[in-house]
This record gives sequence, C-alpha cells and structure tokens, in this order.
Amino acid sequence: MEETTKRSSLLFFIVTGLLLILLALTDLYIGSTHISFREVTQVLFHPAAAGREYQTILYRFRLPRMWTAILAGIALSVSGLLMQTTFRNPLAGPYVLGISAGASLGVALLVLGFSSFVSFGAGTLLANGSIVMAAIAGAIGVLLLIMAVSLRVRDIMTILILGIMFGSAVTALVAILQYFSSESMLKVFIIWTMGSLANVSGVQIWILTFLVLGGVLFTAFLGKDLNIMLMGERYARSVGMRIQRTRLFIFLVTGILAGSVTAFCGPIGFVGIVVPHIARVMLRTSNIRKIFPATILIGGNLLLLGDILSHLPGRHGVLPINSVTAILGVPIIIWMILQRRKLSSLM
Amino acid sequence: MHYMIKLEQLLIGYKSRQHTHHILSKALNFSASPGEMVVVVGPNGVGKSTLLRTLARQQNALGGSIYINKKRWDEFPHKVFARICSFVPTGQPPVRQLSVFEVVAMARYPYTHWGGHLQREDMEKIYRALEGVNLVSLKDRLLGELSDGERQRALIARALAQDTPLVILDEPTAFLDIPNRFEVLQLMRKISGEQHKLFIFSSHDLAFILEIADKIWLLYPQRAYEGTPEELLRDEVFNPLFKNTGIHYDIHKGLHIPPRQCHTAVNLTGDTDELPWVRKALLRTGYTIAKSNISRGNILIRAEKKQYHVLIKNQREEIFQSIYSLLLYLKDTQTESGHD
Repeated sequence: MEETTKRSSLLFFIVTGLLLILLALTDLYIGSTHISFREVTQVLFHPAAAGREYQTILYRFRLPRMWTAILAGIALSVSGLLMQTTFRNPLAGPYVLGISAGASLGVALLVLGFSSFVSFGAGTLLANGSIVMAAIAGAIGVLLLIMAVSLRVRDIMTILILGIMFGSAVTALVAILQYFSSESMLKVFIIWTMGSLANVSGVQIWILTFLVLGGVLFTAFLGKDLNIMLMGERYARSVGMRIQRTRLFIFLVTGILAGSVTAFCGPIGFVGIVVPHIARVMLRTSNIRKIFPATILIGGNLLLLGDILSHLPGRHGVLPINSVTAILGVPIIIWMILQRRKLSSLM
Repeated sequence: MHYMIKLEQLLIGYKSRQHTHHILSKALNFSASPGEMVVVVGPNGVGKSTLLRTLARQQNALGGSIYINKKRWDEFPHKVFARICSFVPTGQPPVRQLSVFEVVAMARYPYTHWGGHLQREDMEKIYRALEGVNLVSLKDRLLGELSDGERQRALIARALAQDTPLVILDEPTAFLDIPNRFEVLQLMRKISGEQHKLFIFSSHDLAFILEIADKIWLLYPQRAYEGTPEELLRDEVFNPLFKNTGIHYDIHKGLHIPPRQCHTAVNLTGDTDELPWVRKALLRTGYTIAKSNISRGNILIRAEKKQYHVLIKNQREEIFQSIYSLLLYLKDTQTESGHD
C-alpha cells in the first residue's frame, strides 16, 4: 500500500512539474502582439538569430510577467497553506489576517488621500514604485498589529476573529477615502484592486523574487512545526513546541509572502484558498512534507493558467487577473465540496 | 520511598483578567511512583481534566507545586519536559488525512532536529510503540479511516513513542465500547508494568478501575482522597459519587446496582446450568426466590435446557423457549392480577 502511494505521488510531482514548464512556455507565446511559437523558442535559445523587436517584447514584458505569475501563485498558495494550518480552518487564506486590506489602505491613502492635496497625474503613480511602497507600508502595518495581538492573545480563534475585524475596519476606511476622491484617482485605485501581473519590471522583479523565495525557504524550515500544528495545540505543546513563537514566525512569513505579492500585483483572490485543498485532494494526505511542495507546483500552475485565460480577449485587452482567479477558483471549490461533502474532512 | 511525582499544596483552576482564582478543588497533596496506573476519579466538572492539563504543563497552576524526580515541574525547559512527560488530550485531533505512522512519528519531535528526519533509534521507538498497541498492520491507514478504538490506540502509541517515563491521558476510554475500553486499559497496564512507565489518567469506568488501578486520586469539590482502590472502598469515600442512585460496592459481588422493587416470591427448580441465569433474570426484574419448598409461593418455575415451565396457581402450565418470553408472561399475569 505504501509503495503505491509513493509511486502515485511521484507521478503527481512529475506531471505537475511538466505542466508548469508547458504552461510557462504557453504563457510566453500569448500576448497582444502575435509572435509565433518558433520565434519564441528562437529568442529563448538562439537570441542572436532572433529579431530585436521580439527580443524586447519577450525579455521586457513576457518573461517578467510569466515569472511574476509563477512567483505570485507560489507565494499566495504557500501563505494560504500556512494560514489554513495555523487556524485549522479550511476557508482561511492569505488574506485572513487583513494583509491585503492593509495594503489597499496604503494604496488608497496614497492614491485617494494624498493625491487630493498634491496633484500629480495618474500615469506617474502607476509608473514609479510609490504604489508598491504604499502597499508594503500598509501590509506591514497590519502585520505588526496582528503580531502584537498574537503575543498577548493565546486563543487562535480570537486571533482569527480579530484579523477579520481589522480587515473590515480597514476596508471601511478605504471606502470613506473612495467616497471623497476624484473620479480619475478612483479609477487608478479600482484598477489596482483588480490585480495585474504585468506591472512588475526591472529591479522590482528581483525584489519580488528575493522575498518570495526567502519566504518559501523559511516555510520549509517551519515544516516540522506545521505538521505538529495539524494535530492541534495541545499535542503541539505536549511535544515541547513553543506555539506562540512558532505562530509569530508563521505570521511574519505570511506577511512577507502575501504582502509582497499584493504590493506588486494587487490583491489576487482564491488562489491561496483553493491550491492547498487541491493538493490535499490529489495526494490524499495533509502531511506538510508532501503538501508544501505540491502547493508550490499547483500554485505556479494555477496562476499561469489564470494569466493565459486573462489574455483570451486577444487584441481587445486583458481581463483583470483577480476576476479570472475568482472565476477559476469558485468552480474548483464547489466541485471539491460536492465531491467530498465537506472541506473540513480534508484537513 | 521514591515518588516519581509529588503534588504539594497544588491549586488548580483558571485565571481570568477580572476574576481572581477560580479554584476547582482544594489544595492537592498526591504522589505516584514509576510503573503505576494512577486513575483520577471524580464527578463531572470537578476538575479532573484541569488537574491533568496542569500536570502536563498545558496550563498554569494557581498555586503550590509539582515535583517530578525532586525537581519543580515548571523548571524544566520545554524540550526537556517533552522527554519526561507525554500527554494524550481527550477527543479526536482535528486532522484526518494523516497516517497512523505519521501521527506516531510526530512524537519524535523533541528528539529530531529542524528537518524532522527520523534516525534509526526514532524508527525503533515508533515501531515499538505501534507493536505495543497492535497497530503495525494499520500503520499506513489514515486517521480519519480508523474506528474509535483504533484511533485511541494510535494516539496512545504516539505518547509511547515519545519515550517518556510519565504518560498523562485525559479520558482515554471515553467514546469507546466496552471491549475496546477493556483492551485499551489492559494495554496500558501491560506497558506500565513492562516498561516501568507511570500512567496517570482520568476515567469514569469505575468497574474496571477498581480492578486495575494501583492508586486512585479521588476528587470532590470540597475534598480529595488518594489511596489504593481497596483503601478507598473500605473507607466508603466513593459513596458521594453514587448519591441518590442506591449503587453500592460489595466486596464479593463488585458494584451492586439495586433491583426494581416487586417482592413477589417465586419457586425455582430445574437444570443446574440454567438455574443461575434464570435466577439472575428474575432478581433483576424484582422477584425474590423462595427458599426451596418451605414457603410455597403462587408461582412455580422449572427450568430445563432452553425450556421454561411455569405454573401459576389456578392457571394451566405454560412452556416458553426463552427467558425473555417467560418474564413477559410473568409480567402480564402480574398486571392482570393487579387489576382484579
């Protein structure tokens, strides 16, 4: 029995790994300008022979976009796994701590609040990194608040409820800012909330790569603790784990992963909630040692797929990635509920 | 005398910001030695779980101290304490999709480094624990697919694999059927003897406990007792547990539950294999057995191999194939005569 599960999980990792490469190549092929598949491979493997124009499109736009999709998919899925494990709640996701609400407050304060005093064009806001900085500041603010709370509050459910409360309060503040802001600035903000994988470029992509890979590496170190947390806090304490300290690390990593992606790409929903469940359904285990790498692979795949689907209108533009992931994610959740009757039986 | 664990003036309970101590029991002065089965007994809500959780450092004591091998229990670092004391909480863990092996392997947490890689010694302890509870053949089964008894055994194996001289369990036999209760308790008894471990656990199965416990810690809201089952029975300190139930303990018969009241005398004769069973059934339903032929009652019963003849005064003899239908017939004639 053990042999067959080993073989089937090996098969799973091979298939999802190959799928990731396939989707990544497909993602490079897709965009507003038509580039044939032969030309894409030529740019990648024989850059000297390819046209300059194609080189620019691929290296300046499509490769960063593809890499951002993979990184964002990984980061959101891993932080979803962290939150579901910590709160032992199948509906927890990267944003339950209010991190995206914090990021959006930062952006809203910049775009809607600050800009009403100092006038500068919407274009400059999107172009320079000030939105990213504002989002990071907002996310860090909420993260610090949650970590301060978790030092004082022992009960994990109370922390969950407080996180949701913070999120609601911050969202209300954002709504007030929206109400008082000008039309053009409101549009900038709304577009940010729709999410985009295409705005990360230059040095930003290196920062994002560093933060996401760092967060993933940190999570790998937490693997042993996360597994014990699956059994509940009493068990964790009984083997000598220091729960509040571990929780603090988990919140910090979640903040880094979800916060950086939200800052660079805007809020992207559902990926973080759905992906760990897909991993658990497919591998029939909750063991973090298997679920964690599976979550990374599925997360990358799912957001690449989302990016490909968001380019379906072709010449007529790009669908907002946040809507695509929701449309993609909701049927998956419903299907899993219908299959298993209840998600909690997966945990 | 060497006590492994000693409770001195221990106060247990909960502390909240507004209220001062909410003490569930008076100060406790208990002790226990290696290789013993110590059972915490008491009415619901008296603080059995609180006591066990306090011992296992799951919650703080409100006062007093616990000494484990002559050292205060809260002075051990976390990882060191985890090598001295393991704990099995009550109820089932929230996770379902972990195999028995994976769950038991988690007990090695205090012994492995960050990667959690299992060394040969860890594997030996895990398999020894699985063998101890007869679960080696189910080691790849998922926790959610186990029966209640199998799951409880797996959770006990997890505590055993932690390789601690002290094992604390909160109601390990709750939610189990009688054969499983017996099996789990017998397993613990065997292991405590063989591996010289001290088991401290709570239970409501008084009938089993009085037979297997080396020591009982008995908690009441106002008082606490400790001693062997025999000492506590002799001193009749269990009686408040049975208040208003009429149950009492008989040194020869064990726990004695009073029968229904009826007082109709029955004459009983017949096959020696059948007689004790029919007598027990009659006594349970509230009849008294007339002393042989000295006082002839109105009801005569002759029991043969799975055949029961009944002769009631002024009625003709009836024959039944089961004790149940015999009792039913007696009940019917009783109510009829009651109507007359």
